[in-house]
Amino acid sequence: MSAYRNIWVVIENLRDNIHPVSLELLTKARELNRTLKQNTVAVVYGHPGKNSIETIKRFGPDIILQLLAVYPGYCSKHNSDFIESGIFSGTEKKEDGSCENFNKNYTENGLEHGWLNYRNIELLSKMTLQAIEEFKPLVILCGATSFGRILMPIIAAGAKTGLTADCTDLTMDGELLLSTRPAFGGNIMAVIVCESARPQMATVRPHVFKSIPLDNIPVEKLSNKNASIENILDKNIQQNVTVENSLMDDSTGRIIPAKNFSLYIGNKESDVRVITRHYEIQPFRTARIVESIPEDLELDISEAEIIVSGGRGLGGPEGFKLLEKLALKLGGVLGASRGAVDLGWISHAHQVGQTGKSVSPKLYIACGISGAVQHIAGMKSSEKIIAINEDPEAPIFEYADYGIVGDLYEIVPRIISQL
Amino acid sequence: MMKFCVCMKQVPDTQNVRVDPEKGTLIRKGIPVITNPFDESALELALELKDIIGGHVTVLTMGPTSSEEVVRDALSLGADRAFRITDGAFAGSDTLATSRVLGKAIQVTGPYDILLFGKQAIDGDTAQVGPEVAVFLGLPLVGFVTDVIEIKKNCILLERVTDWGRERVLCDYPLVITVLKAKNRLRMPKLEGIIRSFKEEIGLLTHKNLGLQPEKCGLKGSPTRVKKIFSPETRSRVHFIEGSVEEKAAEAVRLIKKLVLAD
Repeated sequence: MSAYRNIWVVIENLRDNIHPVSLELLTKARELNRTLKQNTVAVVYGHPGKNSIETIKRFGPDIILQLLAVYPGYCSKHNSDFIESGIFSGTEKKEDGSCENFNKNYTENGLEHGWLNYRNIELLSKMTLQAIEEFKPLVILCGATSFGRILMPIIAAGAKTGLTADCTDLTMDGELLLSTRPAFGGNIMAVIVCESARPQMATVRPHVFKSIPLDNIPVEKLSNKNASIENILDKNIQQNVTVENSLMDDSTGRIIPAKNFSLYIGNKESDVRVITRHYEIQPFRTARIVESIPEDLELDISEAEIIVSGGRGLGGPEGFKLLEKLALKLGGVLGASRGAVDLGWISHAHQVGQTGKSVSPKLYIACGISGAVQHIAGMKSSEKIIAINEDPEAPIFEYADYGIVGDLYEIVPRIISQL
Repeated sequence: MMKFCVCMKQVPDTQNVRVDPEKGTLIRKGIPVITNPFDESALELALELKDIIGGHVTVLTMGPTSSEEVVRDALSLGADRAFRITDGAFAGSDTLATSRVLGKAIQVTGPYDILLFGKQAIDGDTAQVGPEVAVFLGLPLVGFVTDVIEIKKNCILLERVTDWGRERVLCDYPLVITVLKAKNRLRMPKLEGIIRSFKEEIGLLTHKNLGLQPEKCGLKGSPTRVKKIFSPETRSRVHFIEGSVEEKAAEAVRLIKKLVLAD
């Protein structure tokens, strides 16, 4: 068990930058390592843009581990050409010793299979499992996003180890990770441990931890464009290449498997060590992405500073029209409880709670929301909460800072007119 | 013939659970049990696909006697066959151990073309079992599905959600789907369905007919365990704004201005 070392943080891309939750986890890993005194490793898949690498470095990992996939039978002589794009490609050595570039579709059952690229979560899992076998991390952390909540269980099942989802706190007791998470719909908190299986894995929702860069300069908000999430070729990573283990076909002319070498890339500007690893992945049957439909960024309420939220107490969808007026006056966005969304009064993009978005605004105004624990779980990090509800016994009042018992249809219009 | 399998779970109705304010423990008495809402979506999706392309729907549940209700309801709605997995040896299973059991049950009762799971159970809320079963069975996984765009004899086109929008993916069979939401609410049973559901026999699966060793199941077969349980902290007491409607609104405005302008 002591062969397992270091805390890995899986880095997730979001549009043309890093998902904030990855930076929050890098910060947390750094904090845990102050006592654990091991390394924080940022795990990166494919080819992130230069911006992404610079962002990651600001959050102080000791190592950036870049994982790349190559086709089986990869030819070592052409290692400098393999970094083409996110598309699975490679070279094939022909009988006369020359090499030929190829891009292969993997076809089975007459259906062209998931064009293997770094957007395929199952591919990422296969690479990570090989990396786990090679490097033996003690802990792996990842954001509990729709990406992380699929990637991490696939890895955990493959590694036959334990995974704790949606943790609200992480501490180390020696080399044992203590993961705290809500259970039973959030009515109770549980501390989960994975005593012997390794690595110990956990996912954490966005906004649970704070991200603190080394230089303490706040990271700018993500850009507002609908950039595609294709990975960007970055030749800059190739600078200062020192090939530590030189590649050679052995005397019989056999091709050495790609994973037997690595490139150590030193960067004079920082102490972050970048390790690039190539793993041969056998083609596998997987779903193929045929269309991507990015959603309007305006609907991402999780970064909002002011949220005006409505629940079943609104009585109908027209309640949201009223709340929208208040939100607009305050420069905020609309939120909703699951009850209101389930009834079709507003779209799921506005849902706040355990099965919706986690938010931590400066001000959260809850109107006609009873305060079911799953809703509270999504907004309790709000700085200040004002609740308006007709029922003085409503559980929301146990979490609010200020409470108004009354009819929101009388109170809210008056608030709007006075603002 | 297309074969569908839906895994369903009976869960406590966590939306209506209360904590004893004095003891800080769950008030377990009289907690209603329901079918996990996400599993209802998965079942509805399976039944809709059966309506479109024909086929056979099996439902599996792992749980105590009361969970038989879940699969009987499914039978009344149009499922063709049902099994309940139950064994004392499975008690204390975490998601990995549960996935192993469900995976075995699927192998033993299968084969199937499409395996459907609800995205998560509202008691555990991990969303791990669907993906872990897919790994156990070595099948492709499509998670967080909201819609089936097209279903054909050899492949299916699905729509799923991601953090940045939606995605359409194409896959052949067999595969595993986790369902976020079906387009339609779960259908209502017809009388013939209800009558049939009482007559249909529900197969029982234990560690013996699944070929599992009890020493490797349940708590012993779970890499994770609960070390401690405690009550979540509540905020400090709320300050109620009193007065007439006008006074309440005015005070709220004052507060909002202060909170929003403060930096």
